[in-house]
Amino acid sequence: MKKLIIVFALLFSLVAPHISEARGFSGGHSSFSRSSSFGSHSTTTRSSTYHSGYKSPSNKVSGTRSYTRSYPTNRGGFWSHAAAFGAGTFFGSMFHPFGGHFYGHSYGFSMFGFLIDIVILLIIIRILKGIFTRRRY
Amino acid sequence: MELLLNEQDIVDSVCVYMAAKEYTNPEKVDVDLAFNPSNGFFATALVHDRTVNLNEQDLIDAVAVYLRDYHNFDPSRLLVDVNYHENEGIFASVQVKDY
Repeated sequence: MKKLIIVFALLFSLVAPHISEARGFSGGHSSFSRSSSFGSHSTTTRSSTYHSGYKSPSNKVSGTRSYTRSYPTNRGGFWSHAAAFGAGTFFGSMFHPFGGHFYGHSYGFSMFGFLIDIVILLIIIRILKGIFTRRRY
Repeated sequence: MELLLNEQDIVDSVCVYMAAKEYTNPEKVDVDLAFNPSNGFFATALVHDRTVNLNEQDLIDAVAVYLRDYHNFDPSRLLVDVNYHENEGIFASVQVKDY
């Protein structure tokens, strides 16, 4: 009877499937090893190793990527909003038709200020032109 | 050249493969690898609270997709051999054919 139980236990351990617990993605940091010696795998003596045999992927797997990996970018934040606000204020004051109002005083039209505005506008136009008509290789 | 992938690498492969199929992130996929002498290799993936069964060919495809997407290998040059050893668990050796 005892022998029968041992034989049964042995048979069960052989037949029972190997089931590992569910695991998730490790992050793609692969730890697979490369071996340059082609025959090293086949020369190892593993009596209890089951091989599926070398098989190629099916036609479902194409050479091109099926999707593009996208990473979330850290856009926005306080400083970008502050910079946008500052730029808005600057342009607003620049294009104001009746000059600046500083500390309650109105300075009216200023020829010098107008010239500076034109110079700044020309610089901005030149930068934008440089960006959009960049030489492509 | 021959590549050796351990059990976690195969799990990662299935995660990537299923995530691409189900339009989700690999981190949101759970995989259960299994081996049975009579049925061979198979896996169960849990995606969006749904279980998907994968056979041996799916596992091979998953390894090829993983190596293509994450390590820039050409799938047509890969030959995948899935193995099971009592001590090492499930692992795969991948032959990369030369041009």
